[in-house]
Amino acid sequence: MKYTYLSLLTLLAILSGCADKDKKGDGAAFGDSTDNIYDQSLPQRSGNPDTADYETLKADTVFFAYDSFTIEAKERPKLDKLANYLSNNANTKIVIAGHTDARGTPQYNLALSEKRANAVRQYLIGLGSSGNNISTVGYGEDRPTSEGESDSAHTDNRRASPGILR
Amino acid sequence: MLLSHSMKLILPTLLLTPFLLLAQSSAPVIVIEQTRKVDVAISPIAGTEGPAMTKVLQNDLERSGACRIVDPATAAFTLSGTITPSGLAGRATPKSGGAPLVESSFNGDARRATHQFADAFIQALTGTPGFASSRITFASASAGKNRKKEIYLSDIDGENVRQLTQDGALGYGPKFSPDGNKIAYSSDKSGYRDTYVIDLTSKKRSIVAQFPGQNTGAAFSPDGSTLALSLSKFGNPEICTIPSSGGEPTRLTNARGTDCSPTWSPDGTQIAYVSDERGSPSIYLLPATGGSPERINTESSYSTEPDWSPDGKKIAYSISSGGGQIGVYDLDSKKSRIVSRGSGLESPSWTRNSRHLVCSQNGTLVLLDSLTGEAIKVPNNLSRNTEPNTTR
Repeated sequence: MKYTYLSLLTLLAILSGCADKDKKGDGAAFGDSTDNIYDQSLPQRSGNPDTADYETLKADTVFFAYDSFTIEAKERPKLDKLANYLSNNANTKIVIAGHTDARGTPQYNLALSEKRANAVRQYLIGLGSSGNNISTVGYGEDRPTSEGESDSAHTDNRRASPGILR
Repeated sequence: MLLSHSMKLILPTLLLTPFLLLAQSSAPVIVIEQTRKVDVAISPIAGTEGPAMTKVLQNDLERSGACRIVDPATAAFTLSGTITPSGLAGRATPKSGGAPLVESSFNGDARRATHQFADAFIQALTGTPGFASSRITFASASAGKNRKKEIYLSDIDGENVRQLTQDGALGYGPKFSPDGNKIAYSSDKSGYRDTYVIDLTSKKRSIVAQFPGQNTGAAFSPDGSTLALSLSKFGNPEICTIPSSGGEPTRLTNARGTDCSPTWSPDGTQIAYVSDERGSPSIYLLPATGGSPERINTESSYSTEPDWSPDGKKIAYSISSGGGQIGVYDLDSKKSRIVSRGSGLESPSWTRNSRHLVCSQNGTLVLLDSLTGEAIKVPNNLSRNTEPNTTR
């Protein structure tokens, strides 16, 4: 287990370019034997994601492949930009709102959308952003930017959008 | 089940002579062999609401899957009843004469009492509980990009629709408590997705889980004391349990992926849930106190929304192939099968008989017979109905 932990930690360090950023999740409270480096426990809630400003940072919206929460290489420059914005605006709290396309079932889509938001948050933490300033929310398939069942609508809707909490 | 294995072997004989054992015990006299139906007639129910209730009873018996409505001359049983001030006096008489299969008074308004009469008859006929008196809760959405989803309650035949929430938010996944008096659901009405419990008796609502991140998919344990739900406070949606009135979570899973949609075994010892730990979403089993998850083979690459049957023997789930179908996994044989026809089906919820499932199909609620694949509409005037859940 120790070996696996270390190699995963190394992997994360390589991915994020920042070896000291690993943080223990709340999961540690339930026993250290279940330590999981993928856990970046979420901050206390702030603001209201429903009324956040999703326009200002719209260009940094991250798009995903079907049924995936992997941040693809082509999307990473957006997050470099977003991390830069956060470091220049250290008092700004943002929310990452995750979304899915219209396919799939409601609960799994809710969880997948949240997972996408979490993946973006963890990536930003890896880039040095403060996790305390980044909340997450998942809207499943119920906040589409494009309606309908076309491939292009599905592609538009599989996203994680950064919003400024106010 | 109520019958021993040896009893089952002689059932075909019993089916041919259903009333011989009537006087001997209150044990079930017939088990319907698969899709075989018993011929039943209904005498018009007496009383001012009689004609309407006659139709209600006929609908209930047809939906049970155990009866075919026929002319009294050829019926094995004839049902008759009278609407009374307190409900309905009902009776089911075998063709041969002899003791009635059912002779009882049912309390409540005429409709409720009629449903109870239907259930008593089905129970006596098949040894399996009827579901005509069950209710369903579900979400119904408005249209558009900024849609809202509110939580509703209705009878299982689609009547008596009541809107429970007016949150102006996205309500998801309503689930009944075992006694049917409470409904847990999640809503983002605070801006974040919390879990609420509505008490249908006191008409009060309380927040039971509002941890950072998402609090979704809550399902009551069979004793009602505990909720299993998916919490993302750890940074990942994980299956947890909390006291059903709220409290600190006990974390059951620890996976890199997405864990959601818990459902309890009827004995409360196990939880089935969805995880995409190994790629696409699959169904896993886990001891309710925690332990090693075991993946079940549903023979589908995208299986979600497990629902454990009341008899404990099966787990129903949604599969994405074929545009949305319902599968059933048999825990004894470890075999799975597709039980629906057509497409657009999801969110199965077992009824009391562990045979029928209420599902949504392209936004309409349907009653699916898992033995025949037949789906009958649960009509209501609402659109975009999702995630039905049935009282047990």
